[in-house]
Amino acid sequence: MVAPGTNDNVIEDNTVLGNTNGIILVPGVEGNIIRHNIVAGNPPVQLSAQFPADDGVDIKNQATPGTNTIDDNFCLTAVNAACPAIGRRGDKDEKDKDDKEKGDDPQQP
Amino acid sequence: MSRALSALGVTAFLLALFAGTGTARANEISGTISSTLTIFEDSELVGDVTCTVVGAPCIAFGAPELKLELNGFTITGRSNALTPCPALAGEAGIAVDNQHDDVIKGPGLIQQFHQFGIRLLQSMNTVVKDVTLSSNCASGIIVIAGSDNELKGNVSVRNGSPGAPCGGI
Repeated sequence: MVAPGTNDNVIEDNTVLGNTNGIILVPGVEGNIIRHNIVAGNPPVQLSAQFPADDGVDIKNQATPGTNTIDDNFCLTAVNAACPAIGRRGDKDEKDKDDKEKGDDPQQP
Repeated sequence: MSRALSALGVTAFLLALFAGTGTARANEISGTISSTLTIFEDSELVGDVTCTVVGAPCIAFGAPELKLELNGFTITGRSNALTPCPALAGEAGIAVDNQHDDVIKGPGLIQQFHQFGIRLLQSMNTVVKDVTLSSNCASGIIVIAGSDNELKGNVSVRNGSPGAPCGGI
């Protein structure tokens, strides 16, 4: 997502593989939700070997930390995102749901 | 006299029916596109598309609240997937610029464009769903200064180049 003002978009359930970067958030974007995506193999190993200066990753979050929601993605490498995360997508949602049913709501302090 | 009136009524009905059908009918797209095709009504691919447009989008949305269905077909740009991929400004498979509530619906493949597979520029509430983007020289899908767009269920693979390390999305 490029340019400030790219806000409140939803990127979910996508598969992003073998690109020079996977998903990019540039400085200044906010309110975007990146969830339940499979983002891996970005960049492909051949590209990393041939062009080591191009430091691509699966999720590159250059925005102010905490201003976007990056959650429950399958990913391996990142800047300012919770990777590696190799659980089955949706595991966190299921856990939150189970906790809520048990009266242990993770959203409550 | 009454028979003549009746015939006139039937004719008017048929005219109204066909006029209505024409208005609702989708624009059908296939074949080679050599200058930007701007759509102003709901449209669909009825065959593979080859784009030879230089420095501009292949298909552009010209109005809000339109739907483009890819119907499992492929839109192919000018780059060669087997050689280094220079990114050239302006080239995209589909551009949604300054619109709102448009929909691009797969399944379908958008490949080998010199810049972006899909470009959303200053657009709002656009949905891109179930589309595959491959071997585009910059990004598979790029969102530039737009809000409340939804990208869901897409596959973005092997996009970008060392000179333009953008991303799948």
